[in-house]
Amino acid sequence: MSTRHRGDTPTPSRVGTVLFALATACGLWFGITAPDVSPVAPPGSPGAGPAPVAGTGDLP
Amino acid sequence: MTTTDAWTSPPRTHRPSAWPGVHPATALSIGALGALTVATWPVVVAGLEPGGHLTALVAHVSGMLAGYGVLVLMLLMARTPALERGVGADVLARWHGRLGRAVVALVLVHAAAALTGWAQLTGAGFVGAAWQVLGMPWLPAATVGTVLMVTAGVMSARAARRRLRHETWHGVHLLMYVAVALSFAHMLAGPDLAGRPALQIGWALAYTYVVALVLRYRVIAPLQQAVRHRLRVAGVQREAPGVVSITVTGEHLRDLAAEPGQFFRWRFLTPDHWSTAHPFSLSAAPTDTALRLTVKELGDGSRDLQALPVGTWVVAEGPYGAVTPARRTRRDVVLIAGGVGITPMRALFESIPIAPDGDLLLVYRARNEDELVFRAELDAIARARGARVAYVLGPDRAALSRAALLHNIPDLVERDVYMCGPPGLMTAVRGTLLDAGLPPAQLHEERFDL
Repeated sequence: MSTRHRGDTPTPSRVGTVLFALATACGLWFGITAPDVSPVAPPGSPGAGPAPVAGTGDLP
Repeated sequence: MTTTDAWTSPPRTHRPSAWPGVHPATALSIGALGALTVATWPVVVAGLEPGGHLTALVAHVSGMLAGYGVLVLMLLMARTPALERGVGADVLARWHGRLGRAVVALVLVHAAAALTGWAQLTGAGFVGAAWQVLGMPWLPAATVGTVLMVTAGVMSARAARRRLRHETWHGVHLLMYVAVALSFAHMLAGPDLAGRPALQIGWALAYTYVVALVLRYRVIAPLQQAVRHRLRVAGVQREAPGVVSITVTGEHLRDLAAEPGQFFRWRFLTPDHWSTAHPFSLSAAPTDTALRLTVKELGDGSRDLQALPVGTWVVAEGPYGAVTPARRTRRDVVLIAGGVGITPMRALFESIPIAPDGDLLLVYRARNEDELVFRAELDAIARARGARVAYVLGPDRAALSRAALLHNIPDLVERDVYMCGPPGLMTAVRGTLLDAGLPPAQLHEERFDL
């Protein structure tokens, strides 16, 4: 821990900076790779994505 | 038992941390605004994409709120300096307990409404719907997470917790992190976030940042402090039946910026204690070479500490607590202590600044004379500082009634009041003080029912 005095602006530590970078990278990765269509939403309900179209190979 | 001469060092000059605290009202406002936003979003989605049922909307709103609540629960316990300093660890722990009950209820409502909605939609019975839902991606893990969460919630109920060893409860409670990890993918794949990359990234970042805070302040900071300060038990001094003071010495203690009135979470590295950190207040103003805590025997853990070997390595997490001299707003001060709540009050009594024309009064309540701790030290401090100490003994709290307090301290409402004691006493005296006209901003309290 660094020595700080009254009125000093706290500066981020090296550990804090590394953790922030890791958390940002992990958060972006989790968010970007999250599914576009919710597997728990019934077809036609909010979050279910576009309805499958017959003849396009979308139908299960 | 041994003693130490560490107290020959003069108390260190008060030097508060540079981290600003977040006011409780600000924290509550931000938290409530977040909850409102999160609860409103599924309603907006339902409006944009009509076709859902009311049961499904209940499932969505409760699910989103539960996910947000879990995030806030972790943040409250992340030990971030801004919250610990501004709100106080005792208040954060109470918020955590109340919100935890609400989150468990929301998770159960979410599961029940989702199953009911699925059963209505598919025409399958409740059991059939449950079977289908369990076959969906990430739902088995989320279900295990829910079971863990409910188990930890039930074990945290007051009646259950009284029957459990602290270590058992703590171990089960840590499984909440596993529960969160198991449920995380289900959150991101929920109907209200799926297909909206900005929201999914925002939600994921909120979680990873909070986890980073938990790691920073609950894991890395204690390890860094352990390496830098090399704390060891230097002495164990019996103060009263079942009460001991433990003196811990180490290096670079000035860097801890500990203040009188604060506490640390102490982890004594013995076979019985290394796995659990216990919160104990500093019972004397910290010096550059020593910290002192005082422990009353209240359970298995604190009983074993009474015979702690000298030389034991110690990991101290902290300092925490917002009831410090920095809260001071008035010239004169009253300190009110009940039972072992005397520990932080003794540290403040020793070191809180008093003006030449100012008055410092310590009111110390105990059931009988045998329960009084530090009597000789308190009398010596009072003589040395020109302060006063009043011992209030007896089975009832008549001496702390509104009439008695105003009779003995006519200028009560003009003072700062610092208070620490058992929850029952604190609640009663708090009501009495506010009823007597003490402005809430002048009341600074710490409860030790963490």
